[in-house]
Amino acid sequence: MGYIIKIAFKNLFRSKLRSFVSIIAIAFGVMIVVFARGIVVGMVDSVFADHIQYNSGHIKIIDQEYQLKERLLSLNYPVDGFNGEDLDVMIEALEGVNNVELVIPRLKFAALVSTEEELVTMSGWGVNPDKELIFTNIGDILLEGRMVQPGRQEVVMGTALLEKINAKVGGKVTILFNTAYGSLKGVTFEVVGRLDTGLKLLNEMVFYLPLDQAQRFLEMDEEVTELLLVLPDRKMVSQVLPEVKELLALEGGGRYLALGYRETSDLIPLMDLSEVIFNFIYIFLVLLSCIVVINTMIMIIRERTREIGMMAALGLEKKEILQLFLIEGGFMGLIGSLLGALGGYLITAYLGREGFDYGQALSGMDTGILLNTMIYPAVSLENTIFAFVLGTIIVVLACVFPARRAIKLEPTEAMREA
Amino acid sequence: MKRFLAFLAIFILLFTSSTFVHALTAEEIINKRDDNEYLETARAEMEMIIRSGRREMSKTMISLTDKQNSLTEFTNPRDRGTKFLKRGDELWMFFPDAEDIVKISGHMLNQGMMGSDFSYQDLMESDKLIDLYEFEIISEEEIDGRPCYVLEGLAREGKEVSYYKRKIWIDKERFVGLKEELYARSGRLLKELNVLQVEEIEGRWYPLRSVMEDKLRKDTSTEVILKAIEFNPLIPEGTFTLENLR
Repeated sequence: MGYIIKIAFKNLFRSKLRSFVSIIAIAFGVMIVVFARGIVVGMVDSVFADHIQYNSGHIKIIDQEYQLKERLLSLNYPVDGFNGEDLDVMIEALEGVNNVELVIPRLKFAALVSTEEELVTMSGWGVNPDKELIFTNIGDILLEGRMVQPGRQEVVMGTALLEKINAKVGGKVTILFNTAYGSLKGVTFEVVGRLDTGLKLLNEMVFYLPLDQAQRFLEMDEEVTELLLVLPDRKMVSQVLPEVKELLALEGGGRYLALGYRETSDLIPLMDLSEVIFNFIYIFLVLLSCIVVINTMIMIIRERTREIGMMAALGLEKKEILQLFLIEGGFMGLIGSLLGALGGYLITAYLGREGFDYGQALSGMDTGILLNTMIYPAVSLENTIFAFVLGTIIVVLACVFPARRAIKLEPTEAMREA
Repeated sequence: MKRFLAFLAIFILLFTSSTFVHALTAEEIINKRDDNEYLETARAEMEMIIRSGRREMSKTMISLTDKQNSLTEFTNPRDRGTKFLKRGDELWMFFPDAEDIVKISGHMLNQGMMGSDFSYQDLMESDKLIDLYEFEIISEEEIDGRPCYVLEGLAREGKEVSYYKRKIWIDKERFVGLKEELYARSGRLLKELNVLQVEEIEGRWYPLRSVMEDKLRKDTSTEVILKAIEFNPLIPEGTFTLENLR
């Protein structure tokens, strides 16, 4: 076996250009796989993260009726505790469930700002700022100023929204909204922070204010529109969800609904499907570059027909001849994949740091869709190794086809041929 | 010949008298109604009861009106201090918690005023109906035992109105509106107003209690009750200014 490997390796250098071109072709294929996979995984990760952080938590608790009215941000179906008890008691009970790390209250409502030219529709989020800072990446995207503080009449909003309403950090803005009792109210807030993110929802639509202020102005003391449960890992949802549902059924009298993060997203099923589709696309990408290798192998076998006949006549078994060519192809696959994986890793790592913005392409997209317009391809060793192994295996498999032609030759015929 | 003249005289008499009895034109009917209901200047205290599903809310307000302007201040605890100022075709609001006064414009004007079935736009209409719509008598009906003219008005060309078509039931004797249906251009019924009680105040018939239903919303209605009204009061100068709103 050892000598076969040695011969195969030496054969690689008999036609340097041809081997080089094959290797480069493989390298390109594998590089694209690493990169494409980086983008897809990066996108999927960010869709999950954004959805969990800014929409659903790992588990979301809402009033049953609210589910249908969520888009309208109705205030008529709040989460306000179990059986008339305080909301805090409910939060404590939920925090008592195994593996629930944090319970995040949010009070979402529709609001307006009247500028000289137009009315700007917005969505107000009354939040507990400390909990938001722990759970979401809001601290990272807070470009200027600071987060809101409880007890103060202040707001934080996205760069695009500030621009639309002609306001600045440090300035004041008068916001209009309907209270839970249908009164129109206008309240002046100080803008204390500015967010900058590729997430359209946060950039153009949402403003944060302290939960206590939102509750006071909306006349919704001890009421929120949703509670988000945070677990140590999103994979634990299926384990915790039944327990939460049981608690809600027992204490809440069936009024509340607990939803896992998968149930509340339109994008996640799409992402799951796209991952499957893309895995096939990777295989085709590598196969495409294998055409060059197959072509090279066919040429090699043509050239070496006499040699193959000679080897067979000298007693080399068919299996060993097959091995010889597979190993030679394998070498090309190995070197090409290694180069490709390395190159792919470097490009992905670079773009993973810089990120690239496809916001222009999505400028008309609905702000309600939680899709970040900044993509940071995910750099991972796992991904790189995946592409390397995929490249090597597919190239070897692709070589089976031409190599089989070699062993079909009869030694006598083969020797005569040249 | 004499007989012929007599016949002619009788004929003319009959003809003209019948036109006298019957022939109020649509325009005349609307004008007679406006004599009752159109306010030159007034000060009114009102209560608005908004019903939405099982929820019921009451808001009280005091309103000053002259032809083109009005100032409304809410007096119930939840909304106390909130003021609307209508100046011509502009609407401004003052809120106790806001530092600025706010101009209401665009699509917001079509929303329910303070959660009611009246839109801000409904409050804004101060032109006489006859200037905005072309009316026609389409039939006569009875409402709660009172004979009414039924008039249909289509928006005059070039006039901007919230409702393309309105149908109004006007009491034949008292010339006060008892019912009104408001339609979109598509023919869809948008709102329906029913007057529950009318009373003679200072010699004019005026609706005291009426209910508006926004047909695009489910299970809602808004009842307006006139608590007190004073026609032609003295309104201090500068009442309808932005400065006064602050």
